[in-house]
Amino acid sequence: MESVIVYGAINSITFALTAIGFSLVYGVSRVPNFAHGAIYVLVGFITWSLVNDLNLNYGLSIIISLAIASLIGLGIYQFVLIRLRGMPTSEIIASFAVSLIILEGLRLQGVGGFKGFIGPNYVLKPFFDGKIEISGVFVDYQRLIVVGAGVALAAILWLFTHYTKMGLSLRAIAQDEQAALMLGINSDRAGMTAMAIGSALAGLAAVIILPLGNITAEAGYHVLIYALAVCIIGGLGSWAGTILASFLVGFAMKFSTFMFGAVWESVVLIGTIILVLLIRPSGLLGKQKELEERV
Amino acid sequence: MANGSVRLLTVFVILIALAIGLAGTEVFAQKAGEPIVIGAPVPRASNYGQNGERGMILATEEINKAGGVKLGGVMRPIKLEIIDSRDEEPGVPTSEVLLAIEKLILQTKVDLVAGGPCMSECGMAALDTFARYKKLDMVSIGCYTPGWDEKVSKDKQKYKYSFRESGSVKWYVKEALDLLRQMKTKFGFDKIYVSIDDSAMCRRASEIVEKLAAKDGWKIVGKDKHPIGSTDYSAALTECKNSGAQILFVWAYAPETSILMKQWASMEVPALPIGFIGAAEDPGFWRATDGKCAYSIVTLSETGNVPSKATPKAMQFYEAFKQRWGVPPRSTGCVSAYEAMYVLKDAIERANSLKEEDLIAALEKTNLEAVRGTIRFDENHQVVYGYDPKNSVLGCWVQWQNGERVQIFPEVAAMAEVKLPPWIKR
Amino acid sequence: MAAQDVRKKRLDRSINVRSTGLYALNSYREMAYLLAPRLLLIVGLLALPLFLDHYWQRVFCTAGVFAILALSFDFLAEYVGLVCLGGALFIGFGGYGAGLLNSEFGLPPWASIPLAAVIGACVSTVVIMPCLRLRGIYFAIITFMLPLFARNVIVALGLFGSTEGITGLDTLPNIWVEQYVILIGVLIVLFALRRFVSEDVGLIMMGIKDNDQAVLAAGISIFRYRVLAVFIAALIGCFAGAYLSHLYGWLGLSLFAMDFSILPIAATVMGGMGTLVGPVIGALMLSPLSEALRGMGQLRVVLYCFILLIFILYKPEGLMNFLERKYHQFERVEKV
Repeated sequence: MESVIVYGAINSITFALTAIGFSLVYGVSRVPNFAHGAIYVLVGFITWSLVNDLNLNYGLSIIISLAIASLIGLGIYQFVLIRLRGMPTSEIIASFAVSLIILEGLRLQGVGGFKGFIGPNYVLKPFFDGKIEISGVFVDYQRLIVVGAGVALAAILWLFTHYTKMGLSLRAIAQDEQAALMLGINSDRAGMTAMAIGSALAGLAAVIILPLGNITAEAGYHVLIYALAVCIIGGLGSWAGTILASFLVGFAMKFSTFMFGAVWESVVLIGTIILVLLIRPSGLLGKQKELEERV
Repeated sequence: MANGSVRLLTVFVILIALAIGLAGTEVFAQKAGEPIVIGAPVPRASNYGQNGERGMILATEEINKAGGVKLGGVMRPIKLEIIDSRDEEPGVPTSEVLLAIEKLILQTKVDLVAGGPCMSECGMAALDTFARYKKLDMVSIGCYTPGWDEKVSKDKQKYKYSFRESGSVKWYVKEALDLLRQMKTKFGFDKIYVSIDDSAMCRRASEIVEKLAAKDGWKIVGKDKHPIGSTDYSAALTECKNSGAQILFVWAYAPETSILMKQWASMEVPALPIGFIGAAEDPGFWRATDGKCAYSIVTLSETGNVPSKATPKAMQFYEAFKQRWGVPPRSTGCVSAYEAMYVLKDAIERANSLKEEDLIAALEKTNLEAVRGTIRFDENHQVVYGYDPKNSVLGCWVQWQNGERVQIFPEVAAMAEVKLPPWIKR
Repeated sequence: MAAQDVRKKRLDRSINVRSTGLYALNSYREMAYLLAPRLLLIVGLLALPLFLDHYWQRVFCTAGVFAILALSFDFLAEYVGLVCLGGALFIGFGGYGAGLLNSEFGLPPWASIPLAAVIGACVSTVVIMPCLRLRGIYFAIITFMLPLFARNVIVALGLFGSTEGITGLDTLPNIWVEQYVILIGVLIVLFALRRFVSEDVGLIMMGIKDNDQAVLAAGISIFRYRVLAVFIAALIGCFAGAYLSHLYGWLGLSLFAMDFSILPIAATVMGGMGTLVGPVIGALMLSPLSEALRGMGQLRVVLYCFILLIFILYKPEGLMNFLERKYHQFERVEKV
């Protein structure tokens, strides 16, 4: 039972870490960044390449790949999304296309000598090797770092969006774009910042979580789905809702594993989504947007 | 701007012309021509497909260098038409795979097909395709489902064109149990904890293993079924540790199984991992798990994938493969696909014809000395596995020791003894 | 004095003007002007199988399946405002339905395909229904997730042959039947949808896409019309799926493959969103292209998405819209 609680908490924070970037971007610019999962995986592979092929220091590689992630996010916004603002159909299709280009591109084999990233050999080393025991449950250090990072990140984001000018302007745009524009906040600039931060968050989640296992391109789809699921349950655009939902889903999945077996995990997930959509359609904490969301 | 539209249209027309051009340059191999054309649908996206491709190319090169296949008094080279069957790619429907096979049969007009879909779903569906077009097929990469020979046995006349030379999971399960029996006598173990990927094949196979193991006197003290691609095995491993099991029987193919091994080592679970662990077959697994995979026992399905003295050809093959490709043979597919070419060569020479009926008769009488042992087919066109290299082919179980995969079973091919990790007390 | 400015002027062709409404019956020339493109499409498609060799005929059959999927995507996206990222869901339900009806109940293909289309459509609609009360983006997200979840559920419950699927289903009698069934299916669906969107029901759906609050204010239940639209799209999608499972005599988890979701989207964007013909042409072009690029593995997906992206960014109108414009209007540069 203790293992359910401990691993449930870890699972929840993992979800929160991956989903917060997506939630940020959607909340600010109402653009669903379907490339979120792709950036997650891409950062993993870039870090791996920097460490293994170029033999750079691990910490330095992480910083470089996070920077690259932000640049990619910026690039996606600047070249693709900016032209499509206001056309939801095209935005969704375009970001989906970008995500596929990245994910399938990573799997390319033998084109121009590029050997794709498939197979079980792509691993990032954990930061510290070792484990400790918490009330009879073995937890390795990396997982503790995940928890610590998640909590720290949530705190930093809260401070950022409540006390810095940039953060406050992001919140303003999320609340009411017209009013923010009238106050001189540049919505395009805010959108770019949101995408850059969102991508960096996706990358950060990747470098912290990926050392727990190995890097595969399929993970991109799974991460995207979990991020989407968590955001829907918590309410699209509500940051607190995302965190609440990730705890709900994280624990629910671990409980169901404990009681019924691991196979029912995704059934539980889809069941939760459908339940939430039926009972409280805009999500658990989507209060603010309820009028807009319901049609 | 009119220019812009014209430009776009031109780009478009070029794209289409390119597509048609690429498609039109397919080799139109004539049946009455010099080389014998063998079609090879290979799932290039997966390791098993790459293994098979390498094995087949190596064999074809060797055969052609030695002169080729003697048919009608003339030495004819083999021409391999390799096509990416895409069946191990996650987003690809089986209809695409079957379309690739149809391309080989209808457009490239190959004489025979070898290799074949690796995924069981596609392999079963392909049986109908080959029956429909009456083309000879030698399945030599993976596709271990026991449903294959069940299906053939139900309608032998319809499916007589297909042969499976790679293997069947039924035999590997038997080998697993014999290996477990060996562990029992050697170390006095008696409790097993089972952990499997949740797929139909793993489920069915593990049920058979549990039933037979229980009959053998083993106690199944726990079972874990995790979704494919699961990244956290802590719950199962804790349960295993607490259950007192001495053997951790694993059946999993997802690359994430390396996480299972790493966690197993970190948690120092006192159970020896044995089983079908897809990720552990790879020579790079040691590095990928930082050496944490030491002591795990995994099956490579075919003798010859690691150095062994079982047959004279085993070491020959190992060295030739390593020299040709720069890497040691990985696992499933390397040897069977290599041997498939020799089996076909042997059958063509004995039948002295390329007609399906003659070849089928010749193949059914195959008794060829090869890397894995001696190749024979049973009445369901299934290759016969056993423990005697003189009348059957051998499997291959290895243990990771000191960074290398060392063969420990079957006994006739073993190169070392099974070692236990330091934290398991006898 | 300002420098001479030029601007592009676009005018309807005179024959276009002359053939509006009842005046089209004036002379054969006007009637030909209207009928020519449609006849060209119909006759061209029906005659095409006669010029292809056996292998390309098989490719043509799968292209037909993608064409129907593209039609359903275009209908939902442009006429109802719902972006469906999970065409694989329909194929999966339709394919499984037909396969199960055939293997469990022994129904022959001509009975199992229509039945599976209807049953599959009902199941798909029920599964998608919870998100239809919300903004379109929820629909996109849910339909994206559903095929993957459906796979997991089938594997988890070990149903319907699970990871191995069921093979040995009845196939259609011969290659000609196969081709013409799908071809006539495509043509019927195409023209039926075109007719449908000009009916009152279709107009309401387009209204929902443009301004849902206004439609709501008119006292019309948006939910009900969306359900109807999803049902129709699911019906044709499941038909395609049922056909596919009988084409190769197999059903399995790969019916939920992502390929079925991506290619229709790429085909629609390339062919021209909104014109129902465009997606069909796009699918008929992209499918053989995908076959020709078989040797390049995943590059084909990267290529589709790249084409998709370029079209969305720089030429969102797509091929058919462009051609239609050229057919109905002409352009001229004139000095201001």
